[in-house]
Amino acid sequence: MSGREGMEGREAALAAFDRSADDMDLAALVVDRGPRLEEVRSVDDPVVGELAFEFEDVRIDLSLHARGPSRTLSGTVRGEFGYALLEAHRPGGRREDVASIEETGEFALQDLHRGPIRLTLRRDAEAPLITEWFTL
Amino acid sequence: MRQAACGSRGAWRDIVDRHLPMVNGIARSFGLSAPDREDVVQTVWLTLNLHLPRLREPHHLRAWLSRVTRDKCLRQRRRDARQYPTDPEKFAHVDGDAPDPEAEYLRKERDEALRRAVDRLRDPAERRAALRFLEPDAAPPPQDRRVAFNERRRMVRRLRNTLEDEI
Repeated sequence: MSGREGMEGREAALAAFDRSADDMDLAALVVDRGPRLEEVRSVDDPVVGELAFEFEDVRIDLSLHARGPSRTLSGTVRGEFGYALLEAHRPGGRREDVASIEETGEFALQDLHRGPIRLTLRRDAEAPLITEWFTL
Repeated sequence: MRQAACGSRGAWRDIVDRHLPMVNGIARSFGLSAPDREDVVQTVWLTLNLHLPRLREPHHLRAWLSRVTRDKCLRQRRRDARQYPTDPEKFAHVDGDAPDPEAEYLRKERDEALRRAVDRLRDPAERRAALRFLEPDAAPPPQDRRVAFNERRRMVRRLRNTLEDEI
């Protein structure tokens, strides 16, 4: 059925169904910018996008870097919490990478593949916080 | 939608089968590469899955999906834009009034619905006459203006009834 005209991607669409995150807090996308124009000629792994997610007092700012097919997400997490981890999840729940949040709030998730991705922030004594899905 | 939010995979499948052609159509109209288009379409369904418990108006789902698909396609296109130093003279002839991709998709969807309605007209001569209205370059045959007007009015009424039945 997936080969029928107009029905491309049916398997992936059906596989998107997952109710496991319904009770988690969701950080909404509040900023999504395109490439930085001024770096196009001079940087090997240019910033191809900047995103920010917010939930209550937590804000995650991300820069998306591209080097060939590989992507890196770096940025800062702001909010009142102690030890925290940031995980990169793919559709189906697979965890691709995990980074600890530095005292300064900085993090980097490296060697990511292209495609849909979602981040999960795990903080001490707090429920997990997930971001909206976005595409690398 | 409520059933899907409560965990029914069958209800989710019904939503996908009903709306996937529209989502794919909008994504195609943005001219993304095939891998980018597949990623965007998958992200749209992942986003709907995430927001399903928060959506309260089932009759707004089509519009919601259309808006989200368009938004994600625009973001992907902007992100993938490669920028090279270029002589501005090369853009002097570019048409700045090119049609909006979503408007193009909606026009195509409307024309397809019209063609289906025309196909259901019983009179072959009326079908040919109706098709002439969909082909802007086709010249109408010479005939009495009053007769042509009445025929056209009857034909439009039948087409409208057929389209309303379809909706």
